[in-house]
Amino acid sequence: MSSARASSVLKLVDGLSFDVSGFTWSVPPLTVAQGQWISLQPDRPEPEVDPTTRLSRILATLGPPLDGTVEILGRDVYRMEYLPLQRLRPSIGFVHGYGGLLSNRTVRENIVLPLSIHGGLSAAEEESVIERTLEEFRLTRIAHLQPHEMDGATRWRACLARALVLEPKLVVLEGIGNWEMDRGRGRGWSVLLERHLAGRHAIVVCMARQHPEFEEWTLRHSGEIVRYTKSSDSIAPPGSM
Amino acid sequence: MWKWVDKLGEAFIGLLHYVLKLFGLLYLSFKVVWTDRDLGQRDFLRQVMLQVYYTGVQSILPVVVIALMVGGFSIVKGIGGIGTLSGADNLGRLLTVIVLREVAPLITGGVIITRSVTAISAELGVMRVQREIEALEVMGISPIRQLVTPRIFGGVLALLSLNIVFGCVSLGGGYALTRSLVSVPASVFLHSVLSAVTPGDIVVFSVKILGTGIGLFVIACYHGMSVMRASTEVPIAVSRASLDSLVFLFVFQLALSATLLVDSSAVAMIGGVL
Repeated sequence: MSSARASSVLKLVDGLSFDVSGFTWSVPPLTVAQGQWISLQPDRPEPEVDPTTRLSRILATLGPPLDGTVEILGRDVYRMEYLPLQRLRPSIGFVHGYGGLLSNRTVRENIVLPLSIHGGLSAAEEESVIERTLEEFRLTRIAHLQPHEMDGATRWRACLARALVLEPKLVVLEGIGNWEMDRGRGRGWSVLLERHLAGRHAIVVCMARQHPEFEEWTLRHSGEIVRYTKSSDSIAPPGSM
Repeated sequence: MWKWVDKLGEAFIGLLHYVLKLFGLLYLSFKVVWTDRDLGQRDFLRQVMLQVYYTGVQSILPVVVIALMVGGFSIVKGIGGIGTLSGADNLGRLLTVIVLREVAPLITGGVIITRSVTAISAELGVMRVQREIEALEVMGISPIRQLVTPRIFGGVLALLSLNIVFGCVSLGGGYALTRSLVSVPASVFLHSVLSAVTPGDIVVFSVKILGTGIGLFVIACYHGMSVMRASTEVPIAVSRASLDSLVFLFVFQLALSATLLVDSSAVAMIGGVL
């Protein structure tokens, strides 16, 4: 691990609980530092319930948990006012499991967007960063396409490129998406891995279920697996949320 | 007996609540211009210009066609009603009052509802369902500033431009179309129209366009942003947005015209000051 590991990026102080379709889940107290890769997995997955979206949204400051505190870069994000939170959010790269790209913009325009809002760069510098990012993710040839013109794996890769263009401290992935397909022909996971090994981000992957191959791949590349547990079967009738 | 009173009260409170929410969205859409002034002005201006293009430029053709029809029809009917040369001044005043002050804002408003209000509410609704608005939030980009404010600013600019186009085409084009039917010389017609336009007319025209534009685009954005998760909510949002916009358009125009009719002395006073 890099020397930057000492600096905590994400901290779940009192543990975390959240509910999905009537089930309550608990994540143990956890600290994720820069250069660290954590894959969060349910210990006993429910075949018909996917807690990934809820958990990743909580970590990405998009919705509060039932219980527990989420600290990002030392700030309790669910006690922050809107404007300071808005200024903190560029430090988080959120990779949607599906969708998430703006459908009326091309790949290039999607990646330019966070950079043009928060980058504070001149047009020339912006252009250079975009070119480098497109090249890094092998998106240069399809930069002019809109999301509906691409397959799911490519959309995911473009979403990952957009999430990483601002060099966020924390990267949250909602599921492992097209992991097998991307590893076979894409560049998304390998870029993420390269950046992880270089200690550039704290990476948290939220998984819906156990995935032996992915687990093995994570552990082989100095990642860690943290399991979260289902603490109650029903707090409300399914479908009531 | 009291049941219908309860229902009436409930409907009134619901309407009040709805109007307050619209004003809340309007307030936020102006506030973010100031609070996010240090964030990406280039992209913001681009969004405003895109809205001007989608709403204004792409609507020019239908507006021009309708304006020609309205202008021609008004001139023929006006001449028929008040005579030719003897009534040239009255014709100018009639066209100014009816076409520029009343018909142009109504018809362009109708075109905007058909083209843009429906499109905006559908677009924002789909963006909600596809989690694109959530994606903006997590990037630290205010969805109000990115999606609502440019649509209101660009929409009002486009509506103003369309009204100017409508006025020019309906009077100029209408006159050209009916040249063979009426015997009013062009210079007399032009002079009668220009002399009939008072500063008060310009004030009324501006207030109408500003109010109509803001109202229509806030309603469109509100309904689009109100969609939660299901794609089945999108057509409902579009339908509500277009219906509410239509009601707003007529109520606002009528209320403003009626107010000015009652208080025409105030208009004259404003005109005098200008």
